[in-house]
Amino acid sequence: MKRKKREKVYIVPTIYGFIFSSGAFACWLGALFYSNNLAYLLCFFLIIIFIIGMIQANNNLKGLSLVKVMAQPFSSHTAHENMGLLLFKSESSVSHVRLNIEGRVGANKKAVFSHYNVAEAGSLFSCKLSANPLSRGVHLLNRIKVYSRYPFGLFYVWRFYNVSHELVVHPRPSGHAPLPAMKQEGYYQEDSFSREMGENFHDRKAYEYGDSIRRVDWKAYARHKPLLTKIYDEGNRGALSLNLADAPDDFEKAIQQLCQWSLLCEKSKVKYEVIAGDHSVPLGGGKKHKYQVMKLLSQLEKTV
Amino acid sequence: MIFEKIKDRSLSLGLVFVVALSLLPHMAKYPLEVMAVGGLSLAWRLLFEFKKTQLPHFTIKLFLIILCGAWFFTKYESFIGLESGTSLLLMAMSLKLIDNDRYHDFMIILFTSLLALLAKVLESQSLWITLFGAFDLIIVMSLLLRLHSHAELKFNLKSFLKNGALLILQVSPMMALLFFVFPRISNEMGFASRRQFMNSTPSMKDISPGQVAYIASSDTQVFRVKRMKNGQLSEELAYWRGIVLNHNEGMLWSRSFVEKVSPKKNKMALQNTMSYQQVLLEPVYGHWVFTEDKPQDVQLLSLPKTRLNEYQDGVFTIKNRPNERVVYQTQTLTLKQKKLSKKERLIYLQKPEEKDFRVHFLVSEIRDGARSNIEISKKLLMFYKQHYSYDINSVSVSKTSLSQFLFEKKKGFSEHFANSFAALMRLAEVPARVVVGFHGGEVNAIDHLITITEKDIHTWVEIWSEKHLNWVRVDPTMVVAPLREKLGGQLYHRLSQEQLAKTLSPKQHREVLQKSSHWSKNLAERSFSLVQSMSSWWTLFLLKYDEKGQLNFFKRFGLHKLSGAYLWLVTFLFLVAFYFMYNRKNKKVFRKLPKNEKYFQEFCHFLAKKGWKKKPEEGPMSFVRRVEGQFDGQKQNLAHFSENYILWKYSLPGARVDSKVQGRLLKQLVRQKIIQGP
Repeated sequence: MKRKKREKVYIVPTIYGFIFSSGAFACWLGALFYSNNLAYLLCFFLIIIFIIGMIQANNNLKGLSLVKVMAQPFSSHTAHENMGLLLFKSESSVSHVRLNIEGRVGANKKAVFSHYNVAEAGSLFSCKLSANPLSRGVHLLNRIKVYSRYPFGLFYVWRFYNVSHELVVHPRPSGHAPLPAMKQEGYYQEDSFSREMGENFHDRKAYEYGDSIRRVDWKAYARHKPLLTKIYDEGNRGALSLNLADAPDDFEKAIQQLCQWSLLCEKSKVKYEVIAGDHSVPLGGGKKHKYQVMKLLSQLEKTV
Repeated sequence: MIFEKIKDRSLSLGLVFVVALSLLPHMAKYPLEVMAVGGLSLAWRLLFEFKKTQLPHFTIKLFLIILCGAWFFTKYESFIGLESGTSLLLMAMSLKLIDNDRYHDFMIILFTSLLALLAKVLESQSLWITLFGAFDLIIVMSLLLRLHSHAELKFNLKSFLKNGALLILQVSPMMALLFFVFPRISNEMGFASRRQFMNSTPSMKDISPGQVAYIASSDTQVFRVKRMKNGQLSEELAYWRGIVLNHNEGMLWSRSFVEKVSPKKNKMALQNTMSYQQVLLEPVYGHWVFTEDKPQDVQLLSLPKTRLNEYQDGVFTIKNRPNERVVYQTQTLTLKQKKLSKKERLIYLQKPEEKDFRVHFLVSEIRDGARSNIEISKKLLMFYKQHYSYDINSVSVSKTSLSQFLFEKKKGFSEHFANSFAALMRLAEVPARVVVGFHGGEVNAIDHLITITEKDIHTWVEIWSEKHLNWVRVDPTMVVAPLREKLGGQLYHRLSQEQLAKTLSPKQHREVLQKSSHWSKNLAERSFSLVQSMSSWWTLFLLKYDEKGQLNFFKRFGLHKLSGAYLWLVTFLFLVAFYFMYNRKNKKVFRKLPKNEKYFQEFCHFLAKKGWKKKPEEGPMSFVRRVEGQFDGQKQNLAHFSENYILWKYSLPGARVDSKVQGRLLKQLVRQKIIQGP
């Protein structure tokens, strides 16, 4: 039988925990030297609060599993808020209160961070992820730490989740160079962009996990049919070829311009390809395509 | 996080309240300067919270710290001691309040307030301090919880207090258990509060005319006593002996040096007798111990035995008397007869320098024809009965001359009669001394204990009897105002002049007093009696539960041989058991889930065991669709079960789904044979 992996929750008293326990000790000394029973009662109260604090702090992080890390590419120069989501699942019998989350990239322990106020027991909840400034490139988010001081601030409780997720830090989108001329090639490729952004209804297919909720045929579902996703035709639109050679001479400014163009294309739902010397991302659109483009831009070096 | 500013104003106001609450019980006993610093800090912080001012600049803070430090060292000169430590703590807490508004400052102030509470608890174990402490803890714990809980939660006073109160309730049973089992260690080392008494009562080392009458104007409770006679509660009025004065200067009496008596080992076993007095003495009269006016032995119950001093004149005192209530037990002894030594005779025959011939004439008159000291005293009592009257108001007379009182004023309070009587006895060559104590008391209708207040203060005389070879009590007030002696001080002082003029018996006076009271006053008196008895019970319980009290407590359950080591072990086991039980209690929350939710989770659990695990991102409907192939014979039941659950969980509030039906469906579904794994 497969044995369930034991979750490791670490706990240490905070500096306030030490002060509090010293207070309880002082109480005990006072009670002993002054033969004072009321001081004994106060001492026992503090001791029990200390124990309850320890149990509740530990239970606050127990039964919490990290389901998924979802991070979008983000710019290195702006402190990026809501750059992704962390999906947690609670298998605990108690709510999780005041969770603080930090993600480590290399030696930078606080590369990404987040916090969550109250998560109901047994619920699935997501935390919005923010990032501290990181250098341009693809960074490996290898460990996520969740910690808390709930309920009395006497204990610091934390646990780690080992993950392996790429954080794409693309160049800052900037530059005022005009977009290259539109290509009228008209070749059509079934990709996520066309599926998501097309306008003419084409067909339905069975719903798959990951399909956009907006494309679900809710009317059919209301008629007791299974969950179906609508498929749309792309229609005949233009396409753009974004080439590093068309951007300014300065390398960094050039990739910033390329980033700016790419984001403009995404925003205006125009298909585009990116060419940077030997590297290229073929014509396309949508989230996956954007991710590929941003990953390419984040990794480009001057030798290209 | 520790430098994070606290932006929630409700939390800051709560902190201001906690500081005010911590200062409150110390207000009466600590110097005005400490309270002034507290008041200033509270006002400043409140103005800051309402955006009327900023927190003080560094230089102002530094100035305040230096000022407070300088004052502290000139006043106390040392950190050691409960009083100086508490003063320092209160000032530090007040100054911290205006230091900053960060998380760190918040936590430090909350912990300091707990120490301020401890300081108060070490001073007094009264019921009021216990209740105050419970309230203070509710506020402090509520603030701690709120500080570490949902940051954007709107402040709600009711739920704020409820959280703290629930926590205290949760903790109380375990606290009580630990209280009983935690091993007490007898404190024979002499560690105790060495605080000076700060009461309004005079030192009681001397009594000048008018002093006792002044004290009698107060209603302050001095002690409560449980008088047991042959195993039953006795409500008789008695004389309570306190201080014996042996040096005379006319109307002024004082106490000169008296030798201590060495402690007599195993003089008696107080606990096993049927007749005794158990006294709960308030910290009003310093180190003096009051005992019933018969030869007594005293045993301290709330303090080590070694702290008791006994003097040759039958006076008892407590060494390093703590400034809190003390419990002791007294019992009548039969003393051996002995002759008065030369030294004692010299002390008790020391006479005043009285030049007035009328005094000497009076003395020779009372001596004339009398064959014993007792007879002399009887003749003088007759003289007092004929010539003097009782006045509850303070009558001022000369301290050194007897004649002014004896031949001019002719009215006074008990100390006038006793002081002059004893002086005259000494002039008549009868060894005499003045005793200051209490006579009277009022019986509490709830617990039947006698409460003695300062209204009952009384002074009388003890003369040496050659016949009995012992000291005999003579009370001149008894012959001047017999009603005062029969009613006791408290009742007598309540009577108006008109009522006093009536010739009624003491019993009739009592009835008149009861009938003339308004029902609301009677109700208030009854309530006061209840509170008084509860307060005494609580204090007696706390003071008596020491090492010996603990052993007696366990003996009641047949545990005769419980040593300290066993108790340490039991305490440790209780703590471990508490840890596991509390953890288990937290897990029980599952059982509190709504039934419909519980049934669905049981359904998921049943399938998970077979390998059909619900994915976290999977909704109930998708999951049921995925597994419906396994329920060939029960597709309808499954559809019904899942639809009911979805309707209950996701529809508008008020949609009703019968949980009994869900339970029945679940029972049928879990009988299904499921193929192992997808």
